[in-house]
Amino acid sequence: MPEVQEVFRMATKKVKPDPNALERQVRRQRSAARSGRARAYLAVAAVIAMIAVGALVLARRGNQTNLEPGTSVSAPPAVTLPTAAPQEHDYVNISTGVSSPLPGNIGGGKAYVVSPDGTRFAYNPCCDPPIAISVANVDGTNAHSIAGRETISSASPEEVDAYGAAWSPDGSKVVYQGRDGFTEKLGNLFIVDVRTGVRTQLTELKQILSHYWFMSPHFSPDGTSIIFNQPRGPIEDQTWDLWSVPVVGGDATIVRRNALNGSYSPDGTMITYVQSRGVWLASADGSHRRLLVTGDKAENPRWSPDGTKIAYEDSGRVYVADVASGTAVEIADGSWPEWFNDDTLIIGP
Amino acid sequence: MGSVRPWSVRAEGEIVPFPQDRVEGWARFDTFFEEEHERLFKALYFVTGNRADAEELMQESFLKLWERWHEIDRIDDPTAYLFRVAMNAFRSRHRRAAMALRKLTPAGEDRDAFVDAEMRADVRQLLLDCTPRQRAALVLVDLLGYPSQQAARILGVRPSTVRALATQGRRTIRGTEGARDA
Repeated sequence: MPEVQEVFRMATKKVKPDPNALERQVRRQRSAARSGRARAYLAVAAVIAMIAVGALVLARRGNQTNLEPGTSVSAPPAVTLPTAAPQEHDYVNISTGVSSPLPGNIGGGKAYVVSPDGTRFAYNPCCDPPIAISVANVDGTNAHSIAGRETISSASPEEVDAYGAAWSPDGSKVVYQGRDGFTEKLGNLFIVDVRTGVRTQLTELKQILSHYWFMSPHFSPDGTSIIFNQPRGPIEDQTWDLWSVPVVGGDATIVRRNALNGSYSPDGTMITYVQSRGVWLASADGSHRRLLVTGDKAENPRWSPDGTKIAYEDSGRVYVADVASGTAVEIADGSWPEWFNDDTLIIGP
Repeated sequence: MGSVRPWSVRAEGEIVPFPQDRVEGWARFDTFFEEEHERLFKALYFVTGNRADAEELMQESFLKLWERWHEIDRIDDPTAYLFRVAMNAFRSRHRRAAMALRKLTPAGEDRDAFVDAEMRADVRQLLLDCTPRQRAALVLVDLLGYPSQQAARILGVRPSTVRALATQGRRTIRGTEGARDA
């Protein structure tokens, strides 16, 4: 496209990087190598200190009380995450549009999914590989990794990055996609027990290469299966299908062809998904589909907890559609909408 | 420019050599940096319109790549990885800045963008009429030649969104009066 290239040429021909950029880069590389070792030593010292203080407190109190759901004294050590950069995800009231920030120490991440009992988040704390999944109380306390490189010392490269956390209906487990974030490979689905950290590989999928590799896994409301999408065809001409796999393992079965980002309604009778032209609804077995809202750039539809609304994003804006009428209302700029409750979304940048 | 020196100096003053594979890794990274950094810088300048931001994002991207350089054999496309890291960082900054600005003043055009570029006012306006996301899509699709699916991966959006952003960007650049004379 000569016009774009010409504009680019004019915009950048007089602008060049600082000629000392390489020297600065080398210094930063070496500094990073040295500080990486220093950070490791400091982290170990900090954990030892925390354990010592914790033992002292326990000794004074006698018994541990007020154990938060999902935590366990035998769980992996709760590594206190560093204070994040200014956070970008907000709570947004869908009626008033009023927004407020997430707790600062867990902000800056992506895809904050609240547990069924509303007390915890599962989320990706950062955006570049290695990608982990963390769980934290909604007030930002007790943040710790449950999936990803930091938690699995024996992980193969194919599962070191974790994406797409979704809670089981009883809040005890999280399903996620484990894959190698440096590649275009699909990876597989895993389920992790949030309390014990025990991880189970759910699928053994053919490692199809895809530029859009996200499988968007979700539990069924009865907790017995996972719905997810899988690419089909060569990487240069690909489509996606919705599949279902039993939580106890076994063969996956097709739910709907040419569909992605699927999830079940809270009562388990319907699914929503995206396909060309918009957000769709269908029966839970994939039959009897109907178009909910148009929008060929719509993605990530999410059922409200009461099942009466679906939030989705389209071209950098978040909308909420009424399931019964199909009327959609624009809520805010942003992406990755997740319901905090029936009146509040968590919206990302 | 400085050259990579394969020695480190201990606190005690004793000079010890780095392992040879570490030295070779640095040399390969330095070569990659020399080959890629100007292109990345110009692309980031085109997206951000700000020299300082482009420099910072470029440095940050290369530093993150450096931290993963020991796994370079697993990275399908280091250039794409660089852009993805840079775009993630830019999106974070852009949203924080936009949110801060919205709270203080009504929304308005960014008058300080592209001040370092010497070009006609109408060309500058073409760029300002495009959003940063549209410019990012144009960089990836039209200038670097990534297919929309791979560009989508880099930008963290769907392929259809990339195509829409690129189409909107092209229309803006071509459709503004006076653009054909630029």
